[in-house]
Amino acid sequence: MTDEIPENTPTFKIILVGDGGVGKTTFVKRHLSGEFRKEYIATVGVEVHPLVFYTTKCPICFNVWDTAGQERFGGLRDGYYIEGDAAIIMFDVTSPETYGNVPVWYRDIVRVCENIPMVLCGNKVDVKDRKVRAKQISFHRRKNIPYFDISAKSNYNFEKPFLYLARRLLGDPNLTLEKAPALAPPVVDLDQEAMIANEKELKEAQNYELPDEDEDNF
Amino acid sequence: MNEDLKFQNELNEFTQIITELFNPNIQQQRKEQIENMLFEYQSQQQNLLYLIHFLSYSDNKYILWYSCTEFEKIIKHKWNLVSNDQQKELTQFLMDFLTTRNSKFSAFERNKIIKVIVEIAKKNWPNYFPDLFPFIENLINMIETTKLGLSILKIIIEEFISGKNDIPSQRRGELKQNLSEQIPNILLMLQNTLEKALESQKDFSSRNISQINSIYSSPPIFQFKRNQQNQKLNYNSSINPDLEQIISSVFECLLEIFTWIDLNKLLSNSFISLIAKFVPITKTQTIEISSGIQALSCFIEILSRNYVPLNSTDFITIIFDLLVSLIRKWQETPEIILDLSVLYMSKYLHLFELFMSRYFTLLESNQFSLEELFSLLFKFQRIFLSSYDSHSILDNKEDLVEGNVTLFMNCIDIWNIFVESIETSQDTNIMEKYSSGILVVFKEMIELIFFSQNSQKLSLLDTEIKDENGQTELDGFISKIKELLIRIAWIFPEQAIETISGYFGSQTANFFQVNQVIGNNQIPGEEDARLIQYLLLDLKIICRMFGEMGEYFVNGFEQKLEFASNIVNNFCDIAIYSNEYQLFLLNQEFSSVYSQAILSLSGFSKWIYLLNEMAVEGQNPDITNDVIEALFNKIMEFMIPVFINNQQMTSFDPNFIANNTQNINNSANSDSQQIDVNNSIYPNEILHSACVLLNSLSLSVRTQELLSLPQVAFLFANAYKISQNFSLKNQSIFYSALSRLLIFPFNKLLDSQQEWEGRREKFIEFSQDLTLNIEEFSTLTPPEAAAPEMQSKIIRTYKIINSLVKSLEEGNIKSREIFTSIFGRNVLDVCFDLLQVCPESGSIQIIILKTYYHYFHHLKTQIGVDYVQERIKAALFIYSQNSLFFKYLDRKTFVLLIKILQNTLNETTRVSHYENLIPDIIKFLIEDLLPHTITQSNDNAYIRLQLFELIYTLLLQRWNYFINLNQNLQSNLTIKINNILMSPNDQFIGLINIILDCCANCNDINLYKLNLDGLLELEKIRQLFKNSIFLNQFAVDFLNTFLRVLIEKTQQSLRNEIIQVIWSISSSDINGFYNKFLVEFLENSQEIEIEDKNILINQFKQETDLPTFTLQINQFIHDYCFFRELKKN
Repeated sequence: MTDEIPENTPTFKIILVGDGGVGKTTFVKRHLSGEFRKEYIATVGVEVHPLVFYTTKCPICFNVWDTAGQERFGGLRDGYYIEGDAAIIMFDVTSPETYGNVPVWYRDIVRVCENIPMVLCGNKVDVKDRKVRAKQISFHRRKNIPYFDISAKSNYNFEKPFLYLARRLLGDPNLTLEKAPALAPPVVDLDQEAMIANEKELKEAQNYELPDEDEDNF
Repeated sequence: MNEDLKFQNELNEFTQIITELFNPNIQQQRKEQIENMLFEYQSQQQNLLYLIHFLSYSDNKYILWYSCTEFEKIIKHKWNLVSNDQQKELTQFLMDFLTTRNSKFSAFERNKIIKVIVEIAKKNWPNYFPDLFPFIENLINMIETTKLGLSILKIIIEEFISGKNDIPSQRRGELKQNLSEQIPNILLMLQNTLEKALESQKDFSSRNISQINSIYSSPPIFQFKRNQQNQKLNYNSSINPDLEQIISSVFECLLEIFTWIDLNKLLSNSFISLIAKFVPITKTQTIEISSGIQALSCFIEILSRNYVPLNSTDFITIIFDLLVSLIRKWQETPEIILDLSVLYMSKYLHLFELFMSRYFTLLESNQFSLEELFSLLFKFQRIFLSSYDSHSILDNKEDLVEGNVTLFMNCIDIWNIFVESIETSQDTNIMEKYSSGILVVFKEMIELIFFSQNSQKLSLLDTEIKDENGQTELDGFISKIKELLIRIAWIFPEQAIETISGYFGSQTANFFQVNQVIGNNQIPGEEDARLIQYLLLDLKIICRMFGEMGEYFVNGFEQKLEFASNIVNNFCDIAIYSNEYQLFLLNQEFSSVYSQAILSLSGFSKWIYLLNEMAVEGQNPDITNDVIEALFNKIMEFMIPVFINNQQMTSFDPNFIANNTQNINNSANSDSQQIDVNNSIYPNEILHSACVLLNSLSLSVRTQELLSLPQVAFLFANAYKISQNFSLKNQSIFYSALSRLLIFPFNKLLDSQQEWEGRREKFIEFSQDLTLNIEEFSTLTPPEAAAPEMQSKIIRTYKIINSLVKSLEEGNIKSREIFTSIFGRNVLDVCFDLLQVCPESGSIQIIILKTYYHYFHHLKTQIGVDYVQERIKAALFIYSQNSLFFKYLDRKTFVLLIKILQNTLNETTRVSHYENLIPDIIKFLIEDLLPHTITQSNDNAYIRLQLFELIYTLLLQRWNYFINLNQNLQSNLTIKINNILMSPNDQFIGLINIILDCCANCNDINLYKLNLDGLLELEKIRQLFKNSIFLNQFAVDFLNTFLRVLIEKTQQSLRNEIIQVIWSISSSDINGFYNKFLVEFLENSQEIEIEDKNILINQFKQETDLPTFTLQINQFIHDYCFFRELKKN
């Protein structure tokens, strides 16, 4: 995980945006190479994480500009986006407000970087009380960009947005990852069945019925 | 040094520094140094002219970015300090700068300058910036600047309509209003631009029709007449790049505009027609998204907004012709499809689906040829699946399956909408018109999900990757098609059942020969194994479909008798045959077919009930008692071996079932202990299905005949031995089914004919092992109770008793009396003993609380409300006295405890009986429950939700306890809570304080919503907000809290609900709210300037209805935040 970045590795600037608190920093810190090599630009509140992925074509380095704290402290604002090669827009699936602001983030990026590849990520899908359901997420369809459910804390789908961006940036739609990125161990387990059961329980409880998943088919 | 030289030096130096900052190879230390310099520089100078000079004399993009950012700051925060002349000078400079250097700018630079102009417009337009729209119009009208004009227009629309909170709401309203007035003109400009583009693109050409792919050559499913109005659509290979960018910019503007304008008023059919002309443009050169995709997106937006034009027939004609023409073109010239992207195709199908869902009725009533459209779709959709084998509309392998399957699923969605529309039309003519076509679809879809017919494609979908619902792609594919098939089958049942029964007949015939294929060594050859595998997968699907259609055979019972009898007998035969050759041991699919056949049979339990009724009534000579007896025997023939599951049966023994059936018949009347029923050889799914079938029969067919069958008598006599190795879930189902047969009333018999006493005796016998266990538990010491085997025994016993109690919900009074005469207070007394004996066992506690819950809920009349009250009091006492209980309680136990209390409080019909419990519940809530839910874990979030529900139930249901008691009663009900004496009034204040605290500090959206709903409900039912205690002690605090929450935006998604509560609290004294509360709220605020406070108070109008009050509050909050930001900057 502390491997040197190979020489001549194609390097791209990735802009990571989204409302404060959606989990941008947690997400980008899951990748251990980034965590060990991160730079910190103290005065403007942006961290640049170089994340290396080993694809079937070649290694690729994403310099991810995590605009942590920007919402509160100002800083260079759209100056961060200049010469961005691709972007990840993130929102929090437990906060409809953060999904509501996705169009504004998208718009701000497009004005600075026309026609760059972008992905939309809904983070925190591990949390039980998800508010923005998959079916309600339609912004990406309007703008024709891909969407991924992710969970920074459980590493769920971590590599998906990067793989999509790598394919687009290297112009190879068949590209795959040669080896999985070294990620920090998950903080929470993503248990789909438990998530479904919990949602069911919550619904039952709201209807003043006794939660009893053992006897659900009875 | 002269000034010019000084300026030039300074600019050079600054350019060097800022360029270095953006150099990707810059060292971190140097970067920080430059950033510091930059910020210092920013704070020193903000001279407009200086920045204008910077821009005028520099070509550096970073200088441009820096200067424009500085302009934006000045316009946003200090525009009032800039003189009118300087404002005009800057505006003119920027417009000139933009137009004269337009060709040299990158997109980023151009957009940045436009953004500054738009920022000025936000402040000055229209009064102090009247040239804005003429300026844009001029740019759009000149070919070399059209794109620039469109870029300005797009940013204006984005910023005016949905910008961030950067202007006061009143100004935002003015901008929207003024922009709305410009919309007809803007639409005209855009329409003209598109028309000019179309005019200048002369080389639109038709593609040659080449050989037609064989997949299109099959006959049409509908006989249709051709629509005469079909327009001819042209495909172009490419558009000139400049024009392509202009068209793209127009569509971007239109997509922005269509999201908010009044489409019904402003959109003409000529414009719709114009947009439609761009749909066939599928290729791009310089842009990523083709004009065709953008045009389709426009239509999707329009339809999503429920567009209802004045002349709707013309509108639907345009869209209908567009859909038909495209799909027909693709059919006639299949190679066109190779040029289409998945995105294009998905947009087309999305439009198709939306169009059908919105306009089916209108299309039908205007006799549009939907037959043609759907015939084309039917043939066209095959390409998505055929491309597995040959070509794909996609260009990479990984997306090949994924993209095509998704598109095919989109087609299924369209069929679902179509079939649903036919169903809801309730029009027999419509149904008749489409029946033959729909049934062709039905047949094709069935064959699509049959492995015997479509194994290659289905296998490609059979990956191990599961989606968020735990389904593989194959599961999703089959279940979606099955959903469509079942929908069709319910509309055209006769024809659909005829189709599937053909498959069912041949599949069952093959199934009953499986043993011959397998042979004695039970290892088939590779090819046979494959065919058997496909047969089983297909048979399972057909069984499932028949199971879903069970209800169909209930109506018109006699006409469908023979048909249904065949199906039911086939289900039984599948199970019997499987038993005979122990097929379920061979592989999972045999087991699944067996399990599905039994489950599908349970779908016919109502039919079996009717068959029994007919036999009893004896009106139909074909339905005699022998018929029903034969059926019951057949069911028992496969069911009993599944239940007895003998451990000796570990190798194949064809005589086993016959021998054991003999045993059964003997043992039913004599020694039941002879049968050893350990260790299951039947897979759990079969056992579970058998339990479900027994349960279904006990719910519908309760007859003396069934009860008197020797096999059933055997089950009663051996219930414990049979079920002891079942899973707890299956044991519970098994016991409740048998209990229901014993103590529920027989079908259609008078009370005097029910033989209650005899059945009571049988019930005692049947439940003997449970009663013995209860007796044993009453004498347990703590070490005995802690033994793992004993804990399992306790859990099993109570779980079964609980399932019996729950099943009593459908029984009558007599059933309950019989039950409680055996399992009455004795069960709960032992529960209470166990509660004290096992404080450290979470699993024992939960089963005990469940028992309390079910008894108090279903059997309170039989065990007595005084007894219930006494037990709850005692339980609360021991919980509060022993902290160990809380240490071992999990979320579920907490919730159960709260639910028990809540149910008690909801018992308002027996209010006097439970009145004495209220002080205990409040004390327990505040002293014990609340402190245990303070930590922020997810588990606790859920418990807190329940806890607050309990608080609201207390206040709502027991309002009179708190409020209307006289002085004497108040003092009688005074108790010590946290060492403070509290009367009911004090308890009320305590509870409201808990709510207030939660509203101020809670981040959990569910809990916040619960509080808002709870407060409104209390106001509605109990007039909480008019109560003197609330008015004097809480109203101001609640209002303050909610306004702060709105300002801090901590609960943004509940904004409207919060305003509704504010309105509800203040509406009883709106003058007081405006003149006193709001004034004091602003006076106490240190966040905004005094003059801004005055603006806020002056612009807040006293409103008397919620919608305008909501607008006022939203404006107040928005402007408060705006002024706060202003002060901060």
